[in-house]
Amino acid sequence: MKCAEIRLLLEDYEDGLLDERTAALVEEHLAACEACSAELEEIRTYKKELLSLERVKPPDDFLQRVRERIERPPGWKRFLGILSGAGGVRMPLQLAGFAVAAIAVVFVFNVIRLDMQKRPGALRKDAVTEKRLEGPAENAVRPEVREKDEAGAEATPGADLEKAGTEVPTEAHRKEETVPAEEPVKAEAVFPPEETERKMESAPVLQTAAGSEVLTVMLAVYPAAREGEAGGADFRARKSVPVSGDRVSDLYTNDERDESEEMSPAGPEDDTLDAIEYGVRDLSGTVLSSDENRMLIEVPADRVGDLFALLEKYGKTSKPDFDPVGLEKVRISIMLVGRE
Amino acid sequence: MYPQAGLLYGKSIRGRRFLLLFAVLSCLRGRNGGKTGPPVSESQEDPDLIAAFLSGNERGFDLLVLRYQDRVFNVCYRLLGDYEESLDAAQDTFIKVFRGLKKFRGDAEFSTWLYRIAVNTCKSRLSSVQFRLSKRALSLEGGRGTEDCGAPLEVENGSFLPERMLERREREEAVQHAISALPGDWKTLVVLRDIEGLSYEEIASVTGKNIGTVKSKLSRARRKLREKLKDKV
Repeated sequence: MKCAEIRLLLEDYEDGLLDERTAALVEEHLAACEACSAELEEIRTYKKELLSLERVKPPDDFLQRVRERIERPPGWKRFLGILSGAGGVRMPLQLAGFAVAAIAVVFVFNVIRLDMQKRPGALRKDAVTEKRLEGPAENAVRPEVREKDEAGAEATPGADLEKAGTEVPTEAHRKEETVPAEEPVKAEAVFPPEETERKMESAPVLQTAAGSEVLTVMLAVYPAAREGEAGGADFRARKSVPVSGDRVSDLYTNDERDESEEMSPAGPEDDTLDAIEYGVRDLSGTVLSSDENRMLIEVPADRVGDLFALLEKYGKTSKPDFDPVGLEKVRISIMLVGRE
Repeated sequence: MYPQAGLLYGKSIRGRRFLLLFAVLSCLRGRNGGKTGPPVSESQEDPDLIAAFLSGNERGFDLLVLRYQDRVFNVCYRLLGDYEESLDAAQDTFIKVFRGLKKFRGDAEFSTWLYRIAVNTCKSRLSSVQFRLSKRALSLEGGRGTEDCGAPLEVENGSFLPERMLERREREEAVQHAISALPGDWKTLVVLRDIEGLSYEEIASVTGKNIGTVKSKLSRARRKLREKLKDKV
């Protein structure tokens, strides 16, 4: 066996999970290969390190605390109890009424303030940013979406991707509606990588988050071909799935997985997003939400360059043309355009 | 002269009804207060303790808590990297168990079910306090990170600790920091396998993934953690 194959088995070997014959093959190789022996030593050190971690214990009264919490009435009951004067805290009814009214006033005020922020031009900074982000390339794609919607074209996974843009209610998009298409690009279920790249590079969905000093950019990462697989396979747009709490709501999702792939030793699930998440944290960024195929992150504006360098490691990235100068943070929605 | 007295002694039909109601309520109270049900002892297996709890003896639940609190707490601590957060998460886990034990079907081990609840509780907690924790994690890089943590090695003044213990504490902090920096899934797998020592089958059951996926993800997670630890030391 070659070193690469042996190294895949080393963890199982160390865990004692290999059958006798395979274990013997590994041992034979280890006796002759210094590099693999060093790798095994590293695995052993790692395991020892983790196993020797001190077991952190809960306080002695842990059970009592659990019991108290189980027996404690729910929050709303406690609130009512305070209002009615139970539990030793007495609050006159008038005061309670005043408190409720005050909460209601604050709530209404916040709603009004939010509404003001959503109005066009309310935030000058956002408006400027959006202007900078507009470009002919985006115009080339968005009107096509409108055309497809109007024509009631048959639902294809590609069309879902395009529809995603129509649900983002930004000023930039409203403006686009009035600009005629220069080069309409057709949404297709299956298209070659070159076309996908061209399309995504020309169509980053850019969105300013109202009321915050962040910019939301949506970009696609095409994972690099797996080792041993033929390159140049088709990229395919995937069907849409809504993400709660995220305005960029219709992106991509995994198609049904092949069960046999699921069981393959290399693992069916692409860990690209996991790896990106890891890298984002290294860049002092935060992962706001993520699922199988996409992730909403926030990174300091001065680390955006590093982020793109990171993303390039995991595949071809459609790099949107924008300038984060003047922004504190940038919010980026990354989606993984998987290979078939 | 005193018609209410007749009620108390059950002399009237309404009085008898009252007594009956009182008796039923007393039974229910006894059930809730844990004074009924079969007796239990520490040596009993999980299914016996669960059965005792379900038939009204809450001491069964208490013994389950005492049996598993260290394991659950340690998992929470390793996943969240914060003592207070872990304390809340571990308590939440057992409260969920208390309220959901009726739904436990017994087709999996109780411990697996418990780990699953603990992991899910930590996951939702992580997503809600992610920003706060990531900020705190950054501050860990600069020095001590367990001010709020009741970790066993903590002392008021580090200068009195023997050098070796200090080194060990720093090393532990570095390892915990590296674990905390792993993405959610990877972290869960590393904690369950390499710290808690669960089998791949158990981990598959806890996480709801198949064994192949668990193995491949764990392998990647370990590689990343090894790299990280190499950098730190």
